[in-house]
Amino acid sequence: MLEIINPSMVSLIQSILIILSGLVILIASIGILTFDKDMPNVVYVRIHVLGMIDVAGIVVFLALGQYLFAVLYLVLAPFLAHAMANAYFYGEDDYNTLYAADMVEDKYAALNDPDKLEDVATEDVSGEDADSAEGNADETATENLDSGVESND
Amino acid sequence: MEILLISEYFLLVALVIFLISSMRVISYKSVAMGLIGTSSLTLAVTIILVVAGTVLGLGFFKDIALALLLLGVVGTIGFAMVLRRQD
Repeated sequence: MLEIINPSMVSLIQSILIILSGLVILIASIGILTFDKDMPNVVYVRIHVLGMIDVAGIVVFLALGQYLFAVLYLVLAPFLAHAMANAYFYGEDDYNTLYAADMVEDKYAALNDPDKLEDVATEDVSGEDADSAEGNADETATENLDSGVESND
Repeated sequence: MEILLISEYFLLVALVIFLISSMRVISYKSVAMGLIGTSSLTLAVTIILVVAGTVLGLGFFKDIALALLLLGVVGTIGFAMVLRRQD
């Protein structure tokens, strides 16, 4: 069985793996720059593309016989991607954080606090009579909470 | 010329293009983009060192690449933790 695998065949398989990885890296490096920078969630998209290059790198390490590099990076790459995405989400991501998490938290907090509930109800029915807004505060807050959660899906 | 050597040179060219692409990503305004770009730059330099070490037959290239791989990952995760606590 092992006689079939001669050195030239191993070299050919190594070459194919390296060329394929090179192609993946080329496509990904061109693609990572062609995304619109104003597109929402573009950072997560770039982290995803970087994951593809990570896999290409692991294949290169395996093809070159560097198994320590391959195993090490295979273990560390997911932690790296998660750390970057997590840091962006809690650090700079206004698009998702402000319009989803904070708003939902405020609405839930308002349900347990009568003063905040009144504020939320008054803000949400701007243009209507304030007395009727106070009377229907519970219903309005609950409706807005539902609509807020739905709109962020 | 051996096909393995040709493929290694092709990979080196692809990695140099990826290196330039990473530098462009670093230059974006956002701190997170700088983090992503630096991480990808570290990976590109590591692979270049491993391939160059294989082509040239120099063993210490791999030692430097191993150190760079580990320290790059540790540095990126550390900076990401700082960026996350900032908020």
